[in-house]
Amino acid sequence: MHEAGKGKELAARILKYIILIFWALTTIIPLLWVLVNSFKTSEEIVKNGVALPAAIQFNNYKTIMSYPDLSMSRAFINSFIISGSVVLGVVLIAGLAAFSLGRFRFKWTKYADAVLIACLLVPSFATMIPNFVTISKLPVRGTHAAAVIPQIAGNLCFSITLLTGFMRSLPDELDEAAIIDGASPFYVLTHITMPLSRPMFATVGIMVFIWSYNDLLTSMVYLSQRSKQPVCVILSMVSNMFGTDYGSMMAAIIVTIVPLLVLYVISQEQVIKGLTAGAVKG
Amino acid sequence: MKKMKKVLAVLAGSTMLSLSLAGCSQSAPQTGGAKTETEAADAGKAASGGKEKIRVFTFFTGSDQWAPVWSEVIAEYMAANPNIEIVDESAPTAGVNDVFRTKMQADIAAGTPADLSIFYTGADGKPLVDSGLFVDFGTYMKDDEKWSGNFKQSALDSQKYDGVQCSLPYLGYYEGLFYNKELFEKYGLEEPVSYDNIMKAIKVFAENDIPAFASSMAKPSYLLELSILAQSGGEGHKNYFDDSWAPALDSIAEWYQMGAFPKDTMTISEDDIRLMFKEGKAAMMINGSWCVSALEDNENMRLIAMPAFPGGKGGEDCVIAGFGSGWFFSKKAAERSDETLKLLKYLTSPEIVQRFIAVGGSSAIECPVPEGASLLKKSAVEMLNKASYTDTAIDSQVSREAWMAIADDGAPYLVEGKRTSLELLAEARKILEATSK
Amino acid sequence: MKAKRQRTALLFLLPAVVLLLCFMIYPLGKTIYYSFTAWYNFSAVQTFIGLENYKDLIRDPVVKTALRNTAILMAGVLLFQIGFALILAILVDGVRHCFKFFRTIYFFPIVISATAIGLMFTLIYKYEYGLLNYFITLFGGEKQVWINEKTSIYLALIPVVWQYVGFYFVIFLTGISNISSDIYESAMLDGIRPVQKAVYITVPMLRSVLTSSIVLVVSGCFKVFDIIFMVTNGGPLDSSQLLSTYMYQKAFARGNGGYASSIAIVMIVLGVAVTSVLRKMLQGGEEDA
Repeated sequence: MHEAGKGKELAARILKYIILIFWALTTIIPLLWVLVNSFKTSEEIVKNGVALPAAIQFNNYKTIMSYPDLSMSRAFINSFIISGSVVLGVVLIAGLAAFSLGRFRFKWTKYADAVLIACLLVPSFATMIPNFVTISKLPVRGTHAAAVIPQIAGNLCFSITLLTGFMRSLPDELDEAAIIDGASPFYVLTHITMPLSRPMFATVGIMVFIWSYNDLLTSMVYLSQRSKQPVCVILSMVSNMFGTDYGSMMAAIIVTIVPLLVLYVISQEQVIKGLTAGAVKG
Repeated sequence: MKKMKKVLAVLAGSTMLSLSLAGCSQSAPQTGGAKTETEAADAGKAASGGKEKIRVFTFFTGSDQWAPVWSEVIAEYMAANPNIEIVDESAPTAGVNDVFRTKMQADIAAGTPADLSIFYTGADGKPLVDSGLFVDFGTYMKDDEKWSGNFKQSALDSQKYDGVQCSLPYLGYYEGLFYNKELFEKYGLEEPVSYDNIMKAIKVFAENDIPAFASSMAKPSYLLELSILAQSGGEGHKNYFDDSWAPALDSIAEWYQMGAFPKDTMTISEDDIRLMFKEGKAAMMINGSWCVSALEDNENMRLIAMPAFPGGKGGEDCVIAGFGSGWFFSKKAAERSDETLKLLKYLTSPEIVQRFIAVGGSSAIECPVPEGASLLKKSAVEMLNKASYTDTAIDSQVSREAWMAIADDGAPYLVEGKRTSLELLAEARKILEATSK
Repeated sequence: MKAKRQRTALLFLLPAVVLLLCFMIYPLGKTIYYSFTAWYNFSAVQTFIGLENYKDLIRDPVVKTALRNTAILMAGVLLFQIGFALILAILVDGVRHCFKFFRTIYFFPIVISATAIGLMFTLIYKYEYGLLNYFITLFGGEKQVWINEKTSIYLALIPVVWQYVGFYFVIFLTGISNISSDIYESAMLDGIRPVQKAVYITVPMLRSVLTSSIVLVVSGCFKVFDIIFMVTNGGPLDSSQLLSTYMYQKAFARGNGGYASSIAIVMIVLGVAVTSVLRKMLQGGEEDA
């Protein structure tokens, strides 16, 4: 009886690891595939997408570095300026909004949720041109802010929805105690809700960063000067009239996502630190 | 999507050469140093440190083949004209999200187009013309005939809207029937110079499991355009979506039923189509000048006009060729100073155009065919020279949605027998009527 | 006192409201207007035509296919992006080894651009030189045309569903980590089994995170675009069309802005309706408590 229980437990544990490792494979292999293909020519990729390269060659990397009007270092700096500002703006504005939607009950709160969903569904083809006209009336044309502002607006609904959901799940006791002590809502937000919601803020921050970082269309349309554009624009440059240079595209993907992966791994550490800090306090 | 590709096609047809380079080389406008100071009026708005900024918008960027020449040309111009700063706002085209179009649409809506832009003409250029933001070149061309004389009249005419010259043609394209001689010889077939030969070839290739045509039903525009011209001939070509076009569509459906297209023709991509043909895995391909440079190393490749269909009026005296894009000059820039016009004249001078064309893989081909040209290119020039009727592809003449009704949206249903050619044409006419209101 | 606190809370909403009004609600209003007009090629001219676009839409067989496909997609995302991601999160939360490894790895697909994922799956499904056919011929089989009218929607949805499993996994993991360990400890003392723990403690504690995630995935179903565009572009014969791909085709490749706007409005109305119903179902009890 005791033995059988143990065997069952072991089987369950093995099954668990099999599922986890299987899924891990589905997520690692594509990335490896992109990496391997970045060393192949376009023709090799199309003809045999799974083979190893005939010879390791860095031509694709050289090609994307040599696009005549693009400075890679400048583009990376731009990316971090733009996406960093977007994340800051979103976290701040969505955090405030989620706090008031998630921690206060207004009669119209459910309508707010519907409005958020509606905004979430507005397609980019509908916002692109009207927003461009709006932005061109503001004194931001030619600066990074021209892309930052619409991107903040575009990511708000998603962030508010997630943060509100998380904040609603927090226990009420802590706020109530603080409020009885005469704390202001701002104090409750910065000293209780924010620290408790840190993991979700981190998750939202990461997602917004990734989306902003990969947002090619907004960057190209709102920032017309190459010297202000972020690094993702090279993803569009591998295509031209004559088709797409798949080899260069793979190289461009690797070049653009490596910083993202590094950033993700680092910020994950932060999240985990935040979690343990919360646990100690709790 | 297809249009963008075609628009950039290399200028190669002697008949279509926008700037007749041979005759006009002496008239290159000199862009000698800064002889005039930037006008005071624009100093506040456009100048930075005494320089006048000129915003330009093209697709010469990234992996585009003209991008290196373009950067060189504008860098040289700035070096020769220290009072000018060219702000290059170029965006790549043909990506998944066509940033190039969106950017122009946004700038039109905001009323802030670049000072000089290259954009698609034909039906795509209509919104630019309607916006009233761009100049009519008429008077400028009259004022400087030395410069305007460089443009071939037929090319200019092809970009007029109600007689108004809103854009200047730059780079051109042509379309035709490519075939791989080797495969025809291998199976003892005659070359596809007549409809009967094509039908025979389809049968034989189908028996041998070789697609006769490398064509995608997901993107059937070239196939349709050429078939329609082969049916309608010059006289019926502008008779948009007339029922007389139906036999062309029916032929395509018949070929499909005979197994003339790749097995995955419903989903195959344009890139794969070209690779398939290049690799000798399909016998024919209906496509355009943009494919020439990738194919010309193979001496078995040929290009001809689509032979006339039974009862059709087309044939080798009809070709599709033209200019899909041109330069637009903003009114604001024209009012500001003469500098933008000067730059435009420089960019459209024979010397500069020659440099662009040299990159295209097919240097500016003049009649007669240059020594050492590939057999493919020679056959292309021959095709163009035989033609007495030349017109741009229909899809650039009508509203995009109307065209799609018989192309991407209609052709798959047609070949599967789920809709008839007359139904598709009727629907396209209906859309055309609605969009041209 | 309470009123003052509420006023402050409203003040907190202000920046978000201003931004959304300018950059979302205003374009949304314009889209509503455009949906009642004939508007082509992004020109400056719109002609009011009343309900014509909506009438066409009801008659349009492609819209019916798109709706059916959207329903299939919804089932897929609920099953995998919510169900499977939740299981993964619970499993990973309970592992002793490699917690950080899984957490990092599962997130990878999100970082790769949709274009690359689309391209990758195109190369897998292709007839000539495709990965699946490569293996089939390796084992002596006959090459297949994988994407046809019957299979297209499922094949196109695999990458769509797969890409974002990792995202909801991270969300759920964040939520699980937030469950106070006291609750688990007292449950463990009662001798609760892992499955019971998941069903009776973890899932109920995740309720509001689950609700917002479900709202996000379901509304996301209406926006899926890039990958489908790359893999099938809605074909063959519109069999894998979604409202979003159809709308993009109408707006950009066909330049019919009026009709595309009416599709967008239908999408938004449906999205709001479906998510509100879902939210009611999921929150019903909680709201009264």
